[in-house]
Amino acid sequence: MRVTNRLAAMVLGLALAVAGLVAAVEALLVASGGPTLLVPRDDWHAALTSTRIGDGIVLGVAVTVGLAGLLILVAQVRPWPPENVDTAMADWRLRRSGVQRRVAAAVDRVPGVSQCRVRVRGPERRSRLKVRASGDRASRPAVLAATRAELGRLAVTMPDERVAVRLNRARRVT
Amino acid sequence: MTNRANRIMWTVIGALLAIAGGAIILANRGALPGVETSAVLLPVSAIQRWHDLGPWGPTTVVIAGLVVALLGVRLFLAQTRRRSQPALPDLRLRAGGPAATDLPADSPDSARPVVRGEVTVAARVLARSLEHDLARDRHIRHAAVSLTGHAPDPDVWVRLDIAGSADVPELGERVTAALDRFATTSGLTPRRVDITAKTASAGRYTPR
Repeated sequence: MRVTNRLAAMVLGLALAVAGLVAAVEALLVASGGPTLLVPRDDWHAALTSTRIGDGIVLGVAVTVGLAGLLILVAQVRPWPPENVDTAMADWRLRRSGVQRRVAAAVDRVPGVSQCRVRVRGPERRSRLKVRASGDRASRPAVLAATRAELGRLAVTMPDERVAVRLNRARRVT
Repeated sequence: MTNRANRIMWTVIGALLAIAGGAIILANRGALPGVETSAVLLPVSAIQRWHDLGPWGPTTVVIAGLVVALLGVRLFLAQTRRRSQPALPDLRLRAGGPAATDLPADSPDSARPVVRGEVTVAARVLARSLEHDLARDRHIRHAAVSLTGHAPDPDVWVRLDIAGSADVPELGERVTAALDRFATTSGLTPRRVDITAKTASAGRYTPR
């Protein structure tokens, strides 16, 4: 979402720049009595002076604008996964994606455990870690130990109550 | 522009669009007080008012258009900077002491030529030197350093790509040592250090 926001802001900036310049040039052409460059001024004037607020096209545009606004609003307001994970070392932070990958790789090395997926959620300073993998439930202590060991190598301190491990029985392939 | 600033901007834009869309829907259904559904979007009298403005109408639109275009360019350029603080300016170090003629005749330094001058050290070069020092570590694949603020106590922003087998606490000690060397050689005392590391999966990016 952070990258999407940045790219969308770049597009918005370019759109504003182009629209502003076109408006300025068109206004200059109007003042000098010249022909229109890009925007047929008679057409848009006729359209705006003949369209009524109760028309269907106005409703269509309003619904589109309102829905787009709601989508943008929900995308911004809903909780985002943290970009970084706080560490026990002063001034140090780790990218969330790397932490997830390393813990998942460490858990996958536990005998009998595979297909591990790790998700870090919550605010940067109070992140929660969820480990999901295929394996026997008896492997849970080993998975927890592997998770703890890897977090230690990453200098990420996370209390037990913020680490959740869920093991699903591996599907038998016959 | 920071991620936080972008998020706030898009939240405001989203809210404004949602409110505008909702208001127009209400007006379209005749539920907005004071707005008739039979009213046109642009009154025919608007063109007369535009002509009444004379040259001020186009002038206002030209100025408004240029302001909007400038804001658009600024918004675009702001996306290329992730930090709000300005970059550290180049360091200007003045060399030399009092001229020989200013010293007492019996001073041992009076016979020694004094070189006066100014040395400019590009801040980018200082950042590069720290990057090279950090990248010498076998567990660091890439280092990017930015210096912001002002001398002699700038803010140091370090971005590291580290090997999947790196032990971060141990690596942290070596990075601290590199920062100490940087402080000694540059004469700068970082006011704030911010280190963000991206670690590869174990088995990828093995140490050199």
